[in-house]
Amino acid sequence: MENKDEIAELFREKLSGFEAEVRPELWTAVSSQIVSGSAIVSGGLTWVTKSLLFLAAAGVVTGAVFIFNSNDSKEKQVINSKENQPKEVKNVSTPTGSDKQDSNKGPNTEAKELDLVYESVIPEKIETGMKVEFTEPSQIQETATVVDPVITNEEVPTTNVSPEKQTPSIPSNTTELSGQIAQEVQEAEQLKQLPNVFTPNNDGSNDLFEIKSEGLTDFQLVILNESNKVIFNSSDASFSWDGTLSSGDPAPAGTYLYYLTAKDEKQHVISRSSLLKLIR
Amino acid sequence: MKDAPMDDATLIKECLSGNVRAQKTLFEKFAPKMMGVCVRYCKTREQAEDALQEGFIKTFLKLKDFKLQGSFEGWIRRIMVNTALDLLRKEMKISSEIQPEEALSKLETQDTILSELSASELVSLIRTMPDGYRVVFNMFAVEGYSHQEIAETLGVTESTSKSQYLRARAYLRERLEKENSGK
Repeated sequence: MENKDEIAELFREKLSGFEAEVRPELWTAVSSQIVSGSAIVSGGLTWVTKSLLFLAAAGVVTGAVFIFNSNDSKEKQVINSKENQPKEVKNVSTPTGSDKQDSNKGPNTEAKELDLVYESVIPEKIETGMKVEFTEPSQIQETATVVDPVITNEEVPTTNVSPEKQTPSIPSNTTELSGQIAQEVQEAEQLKQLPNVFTPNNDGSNDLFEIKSEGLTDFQLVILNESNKVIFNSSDASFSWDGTLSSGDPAPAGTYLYYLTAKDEKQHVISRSSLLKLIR
Repeated sequence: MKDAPMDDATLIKECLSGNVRAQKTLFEKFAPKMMGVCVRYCKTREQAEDALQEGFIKTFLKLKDFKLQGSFEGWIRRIMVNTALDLLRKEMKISSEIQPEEALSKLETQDTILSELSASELVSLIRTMPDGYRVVFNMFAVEGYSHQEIAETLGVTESTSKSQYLRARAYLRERLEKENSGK
């Protein structure tokens, strides 16, 4: 029986030193994680708890911003209830999507009064808290017909939509990635729809790149430019990026790629990527 | 200082003191090999990358627990294997049917063919295996775990581990025969 171990030996000999290619982004993701993780070394569970609390708080604040901005307008129910249903991505608009927009309004007008009251009590938080500057409600409506900030397609479970918008200069592994994402979709209910366009031109509409999520931990996001350089990264699920490079210069218009990993409440690892078209 | 190669002990000490460059050096030193490990266990490249990332995060977080007398590479490798297994665990089904005798057929005749294959060919061969075979085969043949350790890690019986290994080998033989007859 033991003589069979020649196979094991052969494999061990040949493979114990086997190396595979490591994409440089992986270090970025790991390093930002251990920077934020340095707190874990001393603080153990606290860090995780904190981040959970923070995410929860962020959720409330985001909700509140919309109320605050729309204090004077009758659209507030629309906006607010959209926020309360993370699955309904704001600015739902497909090239032919104007009827969809209307159908969204229907149920949304039944916004929960309770939420409105509760959240509008804490407007101060908005200013001091995270900068969740979003668009004026009226403009949201406009953009839906104008820009397409998020190209959503509810029928398609993958996040990488809009192949026609991809530019070939983005690395070839993009297609590979999106294929893999399709395989993973059944695992994660969150992050099915990721933004793939944003317009940081200070017009009040879709000026920030953010990702909606709930209860994610171990969040990691990396944005790469067309030459695969990391131009932004964050370990905070409620990050927002205004399109400014670390040098302070505005990131040029073009197509970027972002890559994110996180764990959902069930500790499932979610790993996503999408192209991000930056239009100025 | 800049490019002076640090031994593992120094590297670990530097990492623990928060030296970011040392952390990067450590990552760069071990990542390719560890990716090689993850690729063998995981189904997709993406999953392997997840395992690598998580494994390194664990490595850094647990670094202070590493006892300097052991092999550091072996220690990281175990973390990687365990991380990959965690990722795989929920989808992995290890059949516990045992038919070891049947699987015990002679693989020896194929040894020469196997030894002619390159490392990456062997890896692709491993990667075509069903989950249970692949994991047990990797753990036993390449990482050198005992069947007892494998059984404990995977939560199966020792005989399951043995039979999975034998089946994995039988599977290898079949693949090789098929490929050879195809030529």
